[in-house]
Amino acid sequence: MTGQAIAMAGAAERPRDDVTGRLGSLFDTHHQRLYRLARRLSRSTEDARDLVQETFLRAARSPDSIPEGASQEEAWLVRVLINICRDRWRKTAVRTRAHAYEVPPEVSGDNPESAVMARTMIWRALDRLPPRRRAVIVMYELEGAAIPAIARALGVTPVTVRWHLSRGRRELAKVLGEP
Amino acid sequence: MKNLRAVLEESDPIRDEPALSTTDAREIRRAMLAAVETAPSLFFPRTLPVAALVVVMIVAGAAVGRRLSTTPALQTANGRGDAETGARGAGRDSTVERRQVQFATPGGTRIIWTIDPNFQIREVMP
Repeated sequence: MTGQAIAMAGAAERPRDDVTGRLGSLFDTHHQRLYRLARRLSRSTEDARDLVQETFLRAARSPDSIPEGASQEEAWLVRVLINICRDRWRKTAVRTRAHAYEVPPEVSGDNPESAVMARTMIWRALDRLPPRRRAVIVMYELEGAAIPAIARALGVTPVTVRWHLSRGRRELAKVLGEP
Repeated sequence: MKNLRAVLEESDPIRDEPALSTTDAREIRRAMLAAVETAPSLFFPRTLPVAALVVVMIVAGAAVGRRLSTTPALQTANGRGDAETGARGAGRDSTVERRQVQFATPGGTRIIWTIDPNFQIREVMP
């Protein structure tokens, strides 16, 4: 009887152990890639770290909603991360964002100062973009992801991705002083 | 848009900054696993408020039903007039309830019967 009782107790404990194990491997597999994305979507390393933590905490709170398979898991995590960005972005006052950059000066030429200014301006301009648009720009331009892959990761259609890409490029080109 | 990509790549924070440190990663991992350990059971947070709401609705429904059933519902003789009963005479005599039965005939005549509770049929002997 004792053996049976122990076996039953073990069976009852297993689901939580499974969840812990699964989340552990989820974290080990995806945390660095997620951090890179978070860093490119946020202003500081601290913000990026918070984003990653919040993403995995959400995963811990609803482990049943995480799909099976590495690419699906990654897409799910990316979506959660971008949703957190969107929540934060909405909470940030419009005024604050408007002050992030006002009238951009013309950026041009081979001047190193101009290059530094361009970098600063471009990341400030990225800060002003809605998180999903920023994610599309980052994933396409920096990570080199294809449009269908971005669409899958963000849970939108390729047409939406192209639209965000086009709008985002136009907004950033304006900042860079391109025609 | 080559210029945009070049500018983005040049100013990419990942280029110069280190990746997420092992200490930070370990801390986040620990926080995540602690959240699993302390998470309430899935049954509790969703079903309890729903169950409570259902119980409240049943109790409220039973109370309303009981209240309605104490008022006698009288039907008209032909079944199509609107019957209305109530304690309209209650104001006149607080101890004796006077009841009314109202209904409309198919021709449109509205008939109101006031039932006198004190009325008694006595046999009158000539």
